[in-house]
Amino acid sequence: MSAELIKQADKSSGLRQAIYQSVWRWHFYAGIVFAPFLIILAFSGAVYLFKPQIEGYLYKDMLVVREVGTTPLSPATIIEKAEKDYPGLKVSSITLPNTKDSSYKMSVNLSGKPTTMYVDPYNGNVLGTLNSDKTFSAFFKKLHSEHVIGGTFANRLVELAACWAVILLLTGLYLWWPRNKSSIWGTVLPRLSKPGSRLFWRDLHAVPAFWLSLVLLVIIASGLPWSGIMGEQIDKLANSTNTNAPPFAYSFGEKPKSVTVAKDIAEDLPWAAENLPVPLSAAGGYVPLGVDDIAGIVNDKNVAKPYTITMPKGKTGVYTVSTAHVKPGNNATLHLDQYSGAVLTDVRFADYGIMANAISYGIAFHEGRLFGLANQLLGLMACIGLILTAVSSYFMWRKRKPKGLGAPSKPDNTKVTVGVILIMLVCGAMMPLVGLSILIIVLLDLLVIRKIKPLRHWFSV
Amino acid sequence: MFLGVLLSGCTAKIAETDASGLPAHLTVGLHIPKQLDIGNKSNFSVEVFKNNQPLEKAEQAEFIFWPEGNREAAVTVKATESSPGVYSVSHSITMEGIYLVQSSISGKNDKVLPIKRFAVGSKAVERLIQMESSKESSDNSHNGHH
Repeated sequence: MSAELIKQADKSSGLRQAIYQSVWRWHFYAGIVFAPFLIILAFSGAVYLFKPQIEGYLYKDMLVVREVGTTPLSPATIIEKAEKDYPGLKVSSITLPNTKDSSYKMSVNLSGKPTTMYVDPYNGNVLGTLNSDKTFSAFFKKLHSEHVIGGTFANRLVELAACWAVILLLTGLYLWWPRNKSSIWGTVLPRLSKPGSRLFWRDLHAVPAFWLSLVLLVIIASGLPWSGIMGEQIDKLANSTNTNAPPFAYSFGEKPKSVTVAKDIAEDLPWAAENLPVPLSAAGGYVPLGVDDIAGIVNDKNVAKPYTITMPKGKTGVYTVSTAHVKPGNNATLHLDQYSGAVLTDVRFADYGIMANAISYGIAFHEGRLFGLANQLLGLMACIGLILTAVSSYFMWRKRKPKGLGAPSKPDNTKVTVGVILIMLVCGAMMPLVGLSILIIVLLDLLVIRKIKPLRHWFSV
Repeated sequence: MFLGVLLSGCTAKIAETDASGLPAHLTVGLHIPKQLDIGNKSNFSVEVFKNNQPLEKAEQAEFIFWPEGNREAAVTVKATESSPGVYSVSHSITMEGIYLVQSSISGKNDKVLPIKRFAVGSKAVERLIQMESSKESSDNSHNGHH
């Protein structure tokens, strides 16, 4: 080999080493900061995945009726009985199940307190009440989406951690990528012959993470539509490409108003306000329809149970009917005029644009609902894998026996450092919170860390 | 063209909307006679429109009458289309009291079931006024909370 070739080979290997070093530094710092959050997300997510089984066991007496009768009472009869038995109770929605042994679930306001009430459909007896915010899964949901603290800050923190998890996965895949002759051991199979060794922990860190990387990326991506900032951007993109759901597609979104005008009594009965003699007959205004009429109209429209009927709010409110299926595909949201029962809007899954479809499937996958137990187990594996990856990284770090923080040293190549920062900023442009945090890191590095010697040493700058 | 078909399959299907921002839907006007005499037949009618066009030749059109609080005593009367989109029945009330009337009109894929209350006899009218006024004030106070 000529001297020129050796020099060139040394140069390219030096460049590769510098890139590796720079990517490792980002991976290290991102891991240190976000591992605790990711462990919380993985743990709470793993529990929440099994909400149907856990709640089915914990609240069995409320969710399942003891004796299945022949004909269930009508929803209006159930509501009437509950409002009679509990003075001051106001039902705001009722969910009609698709199985014979399921109870009716009602959202009620009991003396000013929002409560979920479960009723036996065959005799109208209340099987129990639950404070929806205090259930077992509600706690884990809150831990997962807002670290229990709640509020915008916690929600942004979750989004930040999720986005940095994407960076951790991508940088991790780069570090994992076999550089020499591809070997099965250490890449696709872990070397576990020397438990406790650095190699052992490295392989426990990198190999499962490689296997689960695709699942984890899909789980993170499918969770992002919920997030405050990325979620809004995804929504904007879907709207601008006309691939979102049509207007009035969701029960929690904007609602139309009833079009039948419920006139004031004074308009219908002018003599009432003018002290004229009372006539021998008179017509009143429109009477809001009952839940049974609404259920009848909805059944004619082939809306598959289970679905929830939400009562109208105020004089111009509408009845809202929305399905609560485990899997996407049969989704329907209808808004009905409370006085005439006319279906004002009727949006089905088939009306959704492709992005809204993908988001619906993604959310079902994220929550482990898309393909039954296998989906739940895959999610569980991903969560356990993520925790294992985080824990093994701690032992890898300990095995290096670092002095101080033990961050990988900065590569001696400014072009590479700047180049990697630019790539990171491209990721930051797609994930705004990541971009913002990278800018803060770069500014801190330039303005604080580099100016203070002990910090410079500690951060291996 | 294939790409066009493919892309149109990807976009949301948004129905055409009217001035109120809603897709085609039924609107109704349920009319109760101004004067009702015990034992005399009176004309009850409902006008039904879809997209501001009369809903003609409804598949099913009927009126259901029942005394307040006694749905079991409901009487169903078949309605006829007296003019395009207007369905009416001739019905007599035999006793004083408060009644409810519901017109049930079914189109091809749509249905409306509006209900109105009415009173026959001066005592019943006074009760109706009371009933409607208290509903009015409770509606207002309810709206006040939101």
